[in-house]
Amino acid sequence: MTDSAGLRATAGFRSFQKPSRYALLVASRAFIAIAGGYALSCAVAAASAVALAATGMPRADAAMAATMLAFSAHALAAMWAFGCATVRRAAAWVLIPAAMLALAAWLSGVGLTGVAGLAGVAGLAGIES
Amino acid sequence: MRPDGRPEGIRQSMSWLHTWSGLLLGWLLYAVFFTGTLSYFRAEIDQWMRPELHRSVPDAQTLERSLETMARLAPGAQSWSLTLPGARRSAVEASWREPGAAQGRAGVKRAFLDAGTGQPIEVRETRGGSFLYRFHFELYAMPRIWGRWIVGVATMMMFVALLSGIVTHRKIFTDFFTFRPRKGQRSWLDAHNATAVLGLPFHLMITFSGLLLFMFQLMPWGVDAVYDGDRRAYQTEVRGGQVAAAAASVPRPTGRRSAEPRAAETVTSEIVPVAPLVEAARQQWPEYGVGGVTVSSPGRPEATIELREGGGVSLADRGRARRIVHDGLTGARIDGPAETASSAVRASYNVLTSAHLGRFSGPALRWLLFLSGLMGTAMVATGLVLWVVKRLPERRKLGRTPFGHRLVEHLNVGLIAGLSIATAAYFWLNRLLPASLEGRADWEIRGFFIVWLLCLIHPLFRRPRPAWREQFMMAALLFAGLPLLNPMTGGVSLAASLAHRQWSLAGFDLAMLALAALHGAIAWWLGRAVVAQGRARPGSGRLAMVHAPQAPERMP
Amino acid sequence: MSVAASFGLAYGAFVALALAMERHQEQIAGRRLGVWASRAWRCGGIVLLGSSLAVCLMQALPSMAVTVWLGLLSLAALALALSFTYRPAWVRLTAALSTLLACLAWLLSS
Repeated sequence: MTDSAGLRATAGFRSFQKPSRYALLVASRAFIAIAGGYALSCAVAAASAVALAATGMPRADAAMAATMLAFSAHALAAMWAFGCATVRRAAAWVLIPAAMLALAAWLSGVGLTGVAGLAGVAGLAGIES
Repeated sequence: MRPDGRPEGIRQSMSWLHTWSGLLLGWLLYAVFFTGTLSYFRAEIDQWMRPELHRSVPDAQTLERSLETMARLAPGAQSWSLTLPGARRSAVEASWREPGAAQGRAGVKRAFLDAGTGQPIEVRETRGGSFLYRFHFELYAMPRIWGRWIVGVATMMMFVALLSGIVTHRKIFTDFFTFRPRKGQRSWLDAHNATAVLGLPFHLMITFSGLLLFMFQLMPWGVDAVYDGDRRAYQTEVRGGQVAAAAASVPRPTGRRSAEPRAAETVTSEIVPVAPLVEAARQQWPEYGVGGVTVSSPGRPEATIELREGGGVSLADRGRARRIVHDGLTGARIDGPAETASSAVRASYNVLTSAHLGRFSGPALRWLLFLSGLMGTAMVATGLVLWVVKRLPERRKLGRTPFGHRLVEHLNVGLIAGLSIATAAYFWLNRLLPASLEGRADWEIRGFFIVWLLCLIHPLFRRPRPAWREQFMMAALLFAGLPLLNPMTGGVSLAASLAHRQWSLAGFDLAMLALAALHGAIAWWLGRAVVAQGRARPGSGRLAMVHAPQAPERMP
Repeated sequence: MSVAASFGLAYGAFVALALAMERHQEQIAGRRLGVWASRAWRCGGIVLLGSSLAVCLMQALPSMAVTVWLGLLSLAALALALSFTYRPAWVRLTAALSTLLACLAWLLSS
């Protein structure tokens, strides 16, 4: 198990000269989970709301269902960010769908350049590890 | 996550995630669970903290008297709203809106009426249970938005902790009924698992619905995408046919009813006798009876009387109370438009959020929610303690305590046990502070935080185990003192409230005794383990919590 | 009354399900049970769980009934877990009593 992980993290924190590799790994996965996950969930919310409304569901229901999906997506993205074998794979699995969904939502007439931008920034920073 | 970054199995990585997503904001989550669980009995706490109301005893003429008083107090008001006494409250809570009053909550005036005499009662200024309720999701002493964001982020972390915990729990079915005490770390893990798994439907519901309740702040993009940012349209559409029905009874502050001053207009028409209407409603609602009455435009030709059921029968309908509207002059029933059934999506939202809020729940559901909330609170607490206990072997190997471990251990005592003490102190201050003190509501709350802060400082001067024991003893004493303090400071004693069947007041006192017993039992258990220290070998059993006497143990 | 009945049936259901688990068979029955006996107890437990839910559904609308039922399940499971820890010898008796009393309560109220 990873009980010593907390200990090593403390040890890594002590050497201020250079953050340990472990700290860097944790930070990048956390970034993917938090920022990438949020970007993904926003994109899921927008894209699925539009998609569900297009299938004929009443607007209010589509919006609500999309929101529920989005919260679940964020949680799953966070789990994926830490469950994936490598950081690179985690970044790919979270950020590429986020960018794609944001693009899809934007193309369907919804202004979500902010979300797409966030996903892009997260992608650039997260792959760096 | 492994220190060398090599890949590991899903159970290991989820275990790491579960630990950290639980620990980082764990103390905040403990406070949120604790205050949220208490908030299920917000009305009871509100009532206990206003001892001036304790002597109000309702009878059959309560409503008539209250309406007469309202006619005196607020003759030209836009509407009167009365919440009637029942199992949860013994006085009438009246609110009204004067002509020309401000929109929203600022324009509402409130008063408490004695159920026996109908007269207004002067109550002490206190936030009551509403402080605990608001703290639960908005915290305190910061802009509301910040508090909600912090709690929102913590809720998402809780959700991740729950899901990762489920994935990482290998023997979720085998260990279902398993709790093995006196085995140190194993016991803490069993306790954490039991409180988590056995209450899992509740925990998942409460966490996910907590996110949903904040959806406009945390995740508005779904609504914005389909409504192009027009949230009001969403609100309207989502209520469907219910909007029209509500407008017929309660004047909404949207300018639908004229808000110009009508002070000059005399009250010409008498209101129709309400008692027979209430009786008829009671026949229709045998389970909860009539919980509240709202009279719109009292004394004027367009007056209406709306009766509200005292509880909700369905969660799919937002747990709303059913309503009957009568014409104010003739007493004839006004049928609102037919309520449209909720769609599956809407019903899901309603069920989840109604279960979270517990408004209009009957006693059975309310107690079940409360007990589940207690399990959730215990789940968070056992998790935080487990983190410390699990790392004791490492500390022994190292020969010293790393700063992080000591910090968590210290914060555990002050923030977990300290919260109980602070809550009890809040109730004590409610009675000890003079009723006429200026700004006493704020002082009660400041006292709560000051005591909590003192509880954080106390462990600096004590070893962990004595610190835990002393704080739990303190909490036990404070809780036990409350039923004694109650009659000495203007309230109604437990014996009297039981005799008069004032269940809300009796229930509070009894709950305080139960909490005292619980905290006392824990303090006793902590003390007993020390005695057994001599007999067991070091590193085993509960003694895992007792530190070997090593000089560098204390915090520098 | 129906809440008590539902709780009693849920408790009985959980004891039946526990009997299908190796860990608890010794505690309740004093010996290990065979595969078929375990399966039978598991089925019985599920049936009792269902009847516990049915009792709730007969008294309230579905959303309310299911919510209350889930709360009762948590309580019953917790009660059983604590019984196994502190009073394993009483489990058989309490299970039989609670199931019987629950049926009685339901019959009386219907």
